[in-house]
Amino acid sequence: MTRYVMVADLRRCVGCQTCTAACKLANGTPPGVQWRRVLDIEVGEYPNVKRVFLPTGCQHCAEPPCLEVCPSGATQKREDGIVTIDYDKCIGCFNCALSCPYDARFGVDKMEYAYGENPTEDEVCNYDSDMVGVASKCNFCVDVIDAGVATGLKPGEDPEATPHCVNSCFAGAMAFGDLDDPNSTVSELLRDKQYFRLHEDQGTGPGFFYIWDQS
Amino acid sequence: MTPDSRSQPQRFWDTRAACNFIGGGTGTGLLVFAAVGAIVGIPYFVPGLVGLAFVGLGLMMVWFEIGKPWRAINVFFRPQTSWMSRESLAAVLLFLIGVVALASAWPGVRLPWAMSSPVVPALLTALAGLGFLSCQLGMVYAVRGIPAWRERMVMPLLGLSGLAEGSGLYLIFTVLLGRLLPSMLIIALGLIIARALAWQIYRTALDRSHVPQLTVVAFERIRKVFLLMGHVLPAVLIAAAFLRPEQAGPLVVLAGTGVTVAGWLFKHVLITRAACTRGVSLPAIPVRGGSATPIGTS
Repeated sequence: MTRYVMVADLRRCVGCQTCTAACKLANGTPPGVQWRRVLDIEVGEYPNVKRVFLPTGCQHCAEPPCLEVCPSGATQKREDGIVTIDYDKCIGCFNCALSCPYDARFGVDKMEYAYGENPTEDEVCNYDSDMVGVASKCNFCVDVIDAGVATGLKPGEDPEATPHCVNSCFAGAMAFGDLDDPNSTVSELLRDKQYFRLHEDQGTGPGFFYIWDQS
Repeated sequence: MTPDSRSQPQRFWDTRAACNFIGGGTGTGLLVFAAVGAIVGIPYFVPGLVGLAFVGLGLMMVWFEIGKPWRAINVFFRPQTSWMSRESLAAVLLFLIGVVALASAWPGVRLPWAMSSPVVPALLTALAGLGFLSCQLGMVYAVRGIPAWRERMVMPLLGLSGLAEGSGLYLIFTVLLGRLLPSMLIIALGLIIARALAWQIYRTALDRSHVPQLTVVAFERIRKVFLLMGHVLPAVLIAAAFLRPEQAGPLVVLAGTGVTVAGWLFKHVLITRAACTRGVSLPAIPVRGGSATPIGTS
């Protein structure tokens, strides 16, 4: 079996949002939609305040709460753990968006552009009108993964088969790979380091791990 | 664990979605009371029609809200897990039975077998309505991203509110018809008390489970109006109606209006302003400045 997961090393993330920009560029998401984003969180009280950068997005849960509430069957979970949305089936009820404890789903009512009423050249190329009025979210760049795997590449190790956000991270804070492969980068990282997942109490089994200290 | 931060009001369901829960609850409540009234001979057609109209209007508001209304048929596709799918199927059943009940109550129309009287189809419609309302309760509770909806007491509170709203409207109907029954007043009073208790338990549970502050603030803003207009005042008015039967009509109309409108107010706030996301809780703070090596290097 394969279980693709993401690992973010919070000790290394500098909050540069390069992953955010890479995601937006690759997926052509409109203004206000950030499938990958880095939260800038202040923790503690003066004078003991710390700043945490938290890359977040769809957690591709083992038990996705968005999947069970979706009335149309648009939300699916693949055998490799990636949760996808069929934009041709979605009715835009956004029950999934409410059900996501990670606030990882987005939707737009109309096509908007970054610089006013006229789209940029990039927006003309990338924008997909089918995504107006439906829920959208990070899909771990599933098309890149599938294309890479089809040519024998290994997601998480070969950049051509790895999500754009991971490829773009110059701080080396993000990793992607197969959790069921004991030799994958993510498996090795999680074996050696202390990590947590968000909202574990919700029983969703998120596929996004955060390293916070050495073991 | 760090306290929740980044919690914010949900941005996906607005007043139109709230109208679905308002219409579903009030409509079902009205259908239940109309069926009970039909047993004792109170005309069914008008309250039955208004009850179905409430449910239908609520669903129509949802249709206006969804992003792709012309593929709304897809809503039926996952009843195995989705309460929204189940709600849609229950609505179809409700309207099918409801139309038969209305036909049986229409003067001059004679349907065969048990449907020749509106009582049996009216009771079946009420049951279908309760099924529909149950699906709505399940739909709210299934939403794991909104702490205010994940408190179990939200289901009895919403259910009781729907029945109370329906009882309020039905009392008004019986006054207009000149068929006000003391037993209906007692049932309505019981529902008012039950809803007030459910609200109190729900609020206490929310405080215990540390829901986002915005949720607490939203409920606190309506607390006095909800309790006074929707419970204390109607209870006093109903008691007064018992003491002064000759003036019962206007007193009961006021009581019914208060119970119903307060329920609508609560649901609107529950679905919109009090519905805040979970935010982020960090179980640990990352340790910086150590000997961390970049991912992908050894």
